[in-house]
Amino acid sequence: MKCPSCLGFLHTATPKCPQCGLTMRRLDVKFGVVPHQQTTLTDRPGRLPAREARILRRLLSSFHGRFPQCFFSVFLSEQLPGPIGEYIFWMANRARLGNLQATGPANFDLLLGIDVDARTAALVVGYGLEQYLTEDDLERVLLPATGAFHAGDFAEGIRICIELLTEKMKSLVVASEQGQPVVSTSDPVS
Amino acid sequence: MKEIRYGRGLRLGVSMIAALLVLFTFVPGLAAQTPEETRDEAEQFAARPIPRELKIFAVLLLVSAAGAGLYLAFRAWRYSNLFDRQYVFPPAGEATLRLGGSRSGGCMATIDFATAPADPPAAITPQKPEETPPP
Repeated sequence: MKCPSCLGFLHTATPKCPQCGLTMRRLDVKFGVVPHQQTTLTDRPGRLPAREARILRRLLSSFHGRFPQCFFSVFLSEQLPGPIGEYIFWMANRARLGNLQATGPANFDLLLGIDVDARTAALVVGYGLEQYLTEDDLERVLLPATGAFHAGDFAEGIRICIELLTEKMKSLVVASEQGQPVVSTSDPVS
Repeated sequence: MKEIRYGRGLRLGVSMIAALLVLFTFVPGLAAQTPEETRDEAEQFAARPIPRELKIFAVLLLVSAAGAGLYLAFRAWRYSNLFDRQYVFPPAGEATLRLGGSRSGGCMATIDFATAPADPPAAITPQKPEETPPP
């Protein structure tokens, strides 16, 4: 597992990054008040056409219908006060998204954030999904959307991410039901 | 103080209402007669057709209402989970909370889309075999 700020390796359940000293409290001070977010999709810069936004909201609701434990939220933002990695980690822990009571291993939520100014995107999962989805898996979901994001077609990029994640998570649940090992060994959770 | 007596008046009122009811029930002349429609009026009413525009409007309204209903039903069907099952992950074991995050420990991936993505690998993209120039 990497630190959201310095990308240094985190060996243990550390309350503070040993390399850069990152803590949630420090991010609270840095980012301040948590902005209001819609449960499914928030488009602050207004880059999504209304029709596309409606379709994406329905897709995200449909995702929750398939995976009732998981709330998949997406936000587009601009002029973030910090790197997308730090910001999305802070948002995933502080914003009022999904099931607020679900903490620790009971949290299966996903959050996709797009910084349209810095042209970066990040996808983060809750503790519950860590033993199923590794950072490599998340990268494999994000990378195919790079072209659409680069072309400014954010709706298409988000749709690609939703579809790839749906297929990946379906296969993971089916595999776990059949007793196959689904816990990743490539990126161990310390 | 004067005593108020209701008994006689009440009896008189009830008797009068009962008498009126009997009169209106059994004496046909007192009941209001429904005027019968004359033949001329009936013919006049039948001869007045419904305007064509109104018919077209009604049909269009019906078709558009049916279309909207079908569209909404199709949309609801498409985005609902009618023919798919629900996927539930088995409850996770212990999680190691990191960096003070109670919901997420920062398991994430980031991308930078400022530059265009690289071309797909050669193994995926079919390539024509290079033509060797004739000697």
